Amino acid sequence: MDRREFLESIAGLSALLPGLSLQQAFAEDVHARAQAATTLRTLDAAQNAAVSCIAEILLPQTETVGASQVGVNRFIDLLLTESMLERDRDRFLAGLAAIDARSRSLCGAPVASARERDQQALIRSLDEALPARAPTRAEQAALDRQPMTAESGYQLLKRLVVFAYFTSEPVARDLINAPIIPGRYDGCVSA
Amino acid sequence: MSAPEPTSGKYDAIVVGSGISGGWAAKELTEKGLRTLLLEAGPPVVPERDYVEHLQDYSLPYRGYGNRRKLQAEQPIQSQTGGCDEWVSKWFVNDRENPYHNDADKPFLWIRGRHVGGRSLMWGRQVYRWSDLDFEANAREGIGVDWPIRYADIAPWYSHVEKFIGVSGQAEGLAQLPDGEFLPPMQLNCAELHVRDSMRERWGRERVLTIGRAAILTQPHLGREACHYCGPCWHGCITRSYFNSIGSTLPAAAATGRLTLRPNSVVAEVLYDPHTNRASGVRAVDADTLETLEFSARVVFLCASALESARILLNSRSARFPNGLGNSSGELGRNIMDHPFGAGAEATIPGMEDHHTFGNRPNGIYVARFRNVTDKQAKFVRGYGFQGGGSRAHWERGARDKGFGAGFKNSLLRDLGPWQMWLGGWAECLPRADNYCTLHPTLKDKWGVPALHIQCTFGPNERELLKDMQVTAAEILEAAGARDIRTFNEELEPGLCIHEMGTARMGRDPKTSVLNAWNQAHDVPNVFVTDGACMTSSGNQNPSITYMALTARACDYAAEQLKHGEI
Repeated sequence: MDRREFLESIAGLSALLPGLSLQQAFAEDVHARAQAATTLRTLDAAQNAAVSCIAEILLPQTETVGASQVGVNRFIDLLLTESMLERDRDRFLAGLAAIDARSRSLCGAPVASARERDQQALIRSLDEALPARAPTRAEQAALDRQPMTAESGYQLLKRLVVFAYFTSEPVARDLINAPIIPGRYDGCVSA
Repeated sequence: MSAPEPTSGKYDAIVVGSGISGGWAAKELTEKGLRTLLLEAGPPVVPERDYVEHLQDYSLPYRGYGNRRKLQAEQPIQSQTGGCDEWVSKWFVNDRENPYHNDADKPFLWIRGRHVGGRSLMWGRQVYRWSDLDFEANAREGIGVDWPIRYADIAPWYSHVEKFIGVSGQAEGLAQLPDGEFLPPMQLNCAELHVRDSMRERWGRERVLTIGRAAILTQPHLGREACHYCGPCWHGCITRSYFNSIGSTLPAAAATGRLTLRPNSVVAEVLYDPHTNRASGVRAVDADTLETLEFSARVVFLCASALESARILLNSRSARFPNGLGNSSGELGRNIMDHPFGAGAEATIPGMEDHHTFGNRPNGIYVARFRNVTDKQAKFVRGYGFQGGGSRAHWERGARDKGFGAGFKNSLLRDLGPWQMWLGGWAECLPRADNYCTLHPTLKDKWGVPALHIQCTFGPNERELLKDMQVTAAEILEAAGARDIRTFNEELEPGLCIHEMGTARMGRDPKTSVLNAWNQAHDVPNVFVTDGACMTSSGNQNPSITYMALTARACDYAAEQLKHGEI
């Protein structure tokens, strides 16, 4: 049941439909704005290459869209430019630089220019270093005072790439497609 | 064209604040025939324009990540709470316009909503009755002062409120968590059913897990529609399926034809007439024009929230009450409490991966208090209840799980991940005179009202409760065969639970309390305070339904007193 079907199924709710129309209008305005922002404003060419390359390694195009197709790099640039605290932005960029430095050291080139086999090996080593669990608030505060490394930079980047990919409209709407208005709750149903 | 806002006038009653308590006061007083002026500091909320519960992540500029620079600049305190998100940060105050002070080493987070409906728009919707285990606790242990009421005094008013707001829940027959007038309960999910059954096997009736008792409709109720399980109630609800003032009490009050609602009206003080020893009305400031407003009434109900009502009374100074209206006891502003929370345990529940949920249930589980109920703990008094729930992480686990590449992506798209279960305790906070607020000598808000200095810390009893809840949460998960059990204590600051209370406590003795058994100021009989300020102890249950029940009870009393010329 979609949103309109649900609303139509409820007697006496036609007066509430304008409220949903306004929410839709807001959404359309946001889309128009996002489409217009095609120029990167914070990531330089090398940084963008690193973000795009790693994002595509993490979530590649298969029979479904990959990170590049849904503009993960552009969304991360938007957050870096408009939303992220400057301190967090600087830590993110320092982490990116640390990953590229590691790549130069191990692969002889920044990650985006390295051979595919070397890229995979680098990402595998960074991925295996991810912590087993999320830090507590106090632990995170202590971590935030440490200088960025390739490992902590990768952790930040992976978190953002996953977020950017799965909250993008093509993925959220077309692939995950969770109903906006389920209309009921079932607590334990077999697949 | 709407009528111009009144800038003065005489009413039978003035209610300050339109949130959970103020909405109830407006409803009850108008339904009892009183012409009532409801003053709200903030602007109106128009559901058709302002509710955003169906906007998806991708429809927002930052997809829920939020504009953290703007939050840091304008709402550094408000944004500490999860509800102040990209959708509805507009419903939390601007911290620059609404300053308060605390010592740097004693942080207190004061989370506020100033708009018609107040925090009833964003509240957690959990409603639990108190029992005599709570009302008798202070007297039994010699802590603070005794409550002037017992469960029998408030029980009919709990029923009165529940029947109107609609509470879904499961009757369990527990003495320490009395059952109410319940609509059908929401379902537990697979993990919760498993943990509940394990607890039954291990602890019998000592530790009982039940579905959260929530002010959310599971069937149509008094003209409001049943929940459609979209999930984020705090973003608004166009079908009015959860209780808030805007969708329930205020329309009822308006239907009487006796309600005047004036938004953008910042009440600065209650006016006092020394000749009659009565409040004569209130002085307010128009939030837009800064014009001074004065309204008079036969009775004044303060429902502005525990700290805000205390601020108004502290700022209502006269020769008779140089330290604040109704403060002959010196207790006004003291005994601030807030529930310690943010500690417990979480774990993976193995199996059942071929089962899933459908819909977004805006509710969790509840484990009724089991400490110091029939046993006696050596290290602490009182207890805590657990809230929490079972879930599967879906794609969000990809942000922390190991893995990358096509298989990783497909797994995140296709698989829901293992069942997880978390339990977090909400503990009782003891009343202490050294947790207090006073008027700051120089700091004022945007409207010229003196700001508060707030001093509040958790004490040894609260710290012991936070320790114990980690142990017992882990025990419960272990009994359920969970793996990867992790205890946590986020060491959250007081205030963040948004259950602040106690600043004008009820009591039997005017020398040690501000309000009597009817929420009526001992010193000034036509002033009533029925928000969290009135609380003599904190219990461990979410407090809003107790505020609502006390408000309705106080309104009934006040209306009778007015009718008989007693006030």
